[in-house]
Amino acid sequence: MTQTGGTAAVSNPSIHSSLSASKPLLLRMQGIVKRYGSVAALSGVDFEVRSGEIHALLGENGAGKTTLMHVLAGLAKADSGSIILSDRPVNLNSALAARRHGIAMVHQHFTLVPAFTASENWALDSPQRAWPALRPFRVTEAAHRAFDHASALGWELPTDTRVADLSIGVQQRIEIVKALATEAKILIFDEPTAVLTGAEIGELFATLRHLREEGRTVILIAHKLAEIQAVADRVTVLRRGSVVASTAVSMTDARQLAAWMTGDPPISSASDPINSSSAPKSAALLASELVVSDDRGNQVLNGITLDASRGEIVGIGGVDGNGQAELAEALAGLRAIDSGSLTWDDEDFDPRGAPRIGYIPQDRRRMGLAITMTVGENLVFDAAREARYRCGPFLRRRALNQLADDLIQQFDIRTSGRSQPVSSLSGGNQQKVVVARALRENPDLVIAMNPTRGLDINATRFVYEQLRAARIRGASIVLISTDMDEIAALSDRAVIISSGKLTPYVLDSRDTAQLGLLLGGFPANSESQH
Amino acid sequence: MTAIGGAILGTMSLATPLVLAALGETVVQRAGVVNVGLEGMILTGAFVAFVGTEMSVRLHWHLVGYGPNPYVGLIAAALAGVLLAVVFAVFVVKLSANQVVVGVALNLMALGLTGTLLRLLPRAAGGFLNTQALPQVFYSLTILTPMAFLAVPAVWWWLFRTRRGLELRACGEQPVAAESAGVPVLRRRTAAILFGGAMAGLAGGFLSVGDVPTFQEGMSSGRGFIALAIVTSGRWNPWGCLVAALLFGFADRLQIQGQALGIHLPHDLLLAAPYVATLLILAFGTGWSQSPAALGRPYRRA
Repeated sequence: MTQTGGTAAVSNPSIHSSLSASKPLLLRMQGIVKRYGSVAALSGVDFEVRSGEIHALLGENGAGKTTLMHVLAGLAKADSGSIILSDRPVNLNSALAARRHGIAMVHQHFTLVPAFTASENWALDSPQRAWPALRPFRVTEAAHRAFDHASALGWELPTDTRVADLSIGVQQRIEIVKALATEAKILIFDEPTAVLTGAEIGELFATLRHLREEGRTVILIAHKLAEIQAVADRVTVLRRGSVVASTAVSMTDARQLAAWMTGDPPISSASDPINSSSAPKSAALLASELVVSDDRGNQVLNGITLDASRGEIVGIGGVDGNGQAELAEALAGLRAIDSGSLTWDDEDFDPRGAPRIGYIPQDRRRMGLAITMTVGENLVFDAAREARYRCGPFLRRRALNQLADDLIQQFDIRTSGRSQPVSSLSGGNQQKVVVARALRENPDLVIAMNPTRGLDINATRFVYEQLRAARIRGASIVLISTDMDEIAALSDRAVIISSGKLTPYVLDSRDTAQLGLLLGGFPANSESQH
Repeated sequence: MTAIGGAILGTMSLATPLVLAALGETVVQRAGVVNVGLEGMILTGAFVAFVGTEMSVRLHWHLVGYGPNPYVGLIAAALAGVLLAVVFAVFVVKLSANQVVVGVALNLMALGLTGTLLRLLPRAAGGFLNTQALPQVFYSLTILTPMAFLAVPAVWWWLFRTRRGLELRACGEQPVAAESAGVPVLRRRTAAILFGGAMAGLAGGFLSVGDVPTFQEGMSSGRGFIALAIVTSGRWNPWGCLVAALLFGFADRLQIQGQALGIHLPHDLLLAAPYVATLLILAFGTGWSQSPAALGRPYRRA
């Protein structure tokens, strides 16, 4: 067996495969400690990376992966510890210093300026020249290196649109190109696959290998085991701010990695698909010929028809930015529909009565939570409207607090109490708050959009269990996700959304070629569509 | 000089301090900082320009000639604006204090300080406080008016056609992104605040040695707040600021003209015209504008 303990494992030469052993050590982080208040995010982490390898940094949410990489990228200051780069100690106390040493990071929460175009974002990041305050400056000229990298990757990116108006997937590509253009020796990717779909992930991996071929070193923050096995040379596993293991990927397997990561015996994968045992019932939710526009008035749903029965999960797969967000908002009653109809049991939606809707929005930090308020306040937002929690204009504090405490217990939200700010929770627990609020009142219709994005294994399993429980209770569930495995694991029936159109998709087949075509917007049997 | 020409010159003249202050504030707000202390900086600038002009008598420099020199006063006013801006920056950038609160405190401090110091001046006893005015370079216009109007394209070019300008705007939109691109956000914000202070000081100098060569307590009379409104309604763009400032200058000019013509309206109502114009500009000029995303938010390095 390879090892379990921290530093001893790292320095044990027997665990290195002959391939990676031949590569010289490039980076060594020693005894890195980082505390936020009384919480130690990193407690003495040793981390080594060899030149020209793809090194995966594995761990659950809150394990300290991102914090460790922020220290390396000069975005967070370690309380103690040292960083040695090419046998020389370096002081990475700012992003600028990190960049001077050839370190660049592709962030999970992108660090693009939303109001700028892609070109402007790249130009902002381009190398400095003399007299920047007085020299005329052409954005496209300054960004030329980024343009070269984008075209080398075969990416056609909209460079003159405000980044805020682009889909998350496109934004990530802009961010990756930005990092490539710095000509960094060490590139850190913070969970780059979280927002991508199958084919895109493959392309990303090809890109990473291409970078390795060029002699660059890639550090990949990840929590999906299959991805690590597909692309990484070596892996370091973090748990609760400490290194659990560091080894060549070829020396281990998924079960072992999962065990290191969670500290639990490996669990079986989430693929426990619900059989469509229940006989087809008449549709409760019926959306017909829906036409919906986005914020800029562009029509993004071109007359789609969708139905869902009680106790059915309908999965909607597809690449980000094909109208999913607008569809979710239209179904949740948050976005006006241009034409078409939305009915529940053959009657128009009644905002005060049927159906009761539970909504899990795609971006918990921006749409799902008031991030600076407390866990309790976030949990009882909508309950506070109900008569039983009010006395005229006044809130019944005790009843609301009781409700919050009940939900914290029922949904196993790990927090020190309802008065803790929700921002201090891990991503998984934040999502539990969102899920708890959405499912609290046993809604008739649940709309969940990317409900497990960025969550670790245990939190993902929890969300799946909650959605399945809601299905058994008889709720209609519309699951919108970019993760086809998620769709397959949960759905009774699936459709693919592409360019504002829906195409049925047979879950059993898992025909990757067909899936690729559907995601790319080619109907599988285009003749029968018209 | 025709009546129309006079009206144009008058409008430009009245718009000058607003253009100066609003341009400075545009740069400050583009960097993500709201300087509500603009009013206080203008008032301090007016006072220091006045005092500086008077004191320049004692300099006896061959370079500046003898007698009170209003250019010395102007430079002193700009420096006084920078000094107040340093105070503002220490609280707002270094200590991450609430920008509005610090700005309001600065206004109150400037009002009290200039009023108190005014009474300490030897000549204030007689209540007669004239000083040397800036020479007129073109009809009734002083050097400050062409300076202010030429600063509009200059600031626009700097903001939108230089790298430093791009970086500054990034500081106001998404400081984290700017920082990760290697831009020292806090230093850029400080520099922007100092520039805004200098411009506000000059705007004040216009009031006491450019327009009418005198100083009165509280003579800025809300121009700092009007400049803030101009920045917003000008959509954080120097050209927009120019248009809004001219509109206001025109309203102000109408008010003066109205008084001169003896229009039978209460005097106070005429005086209010420019402020009503500001309200109207704010109400109808801001609907489609988008402020810098990080405006007013302190930035702390992780």
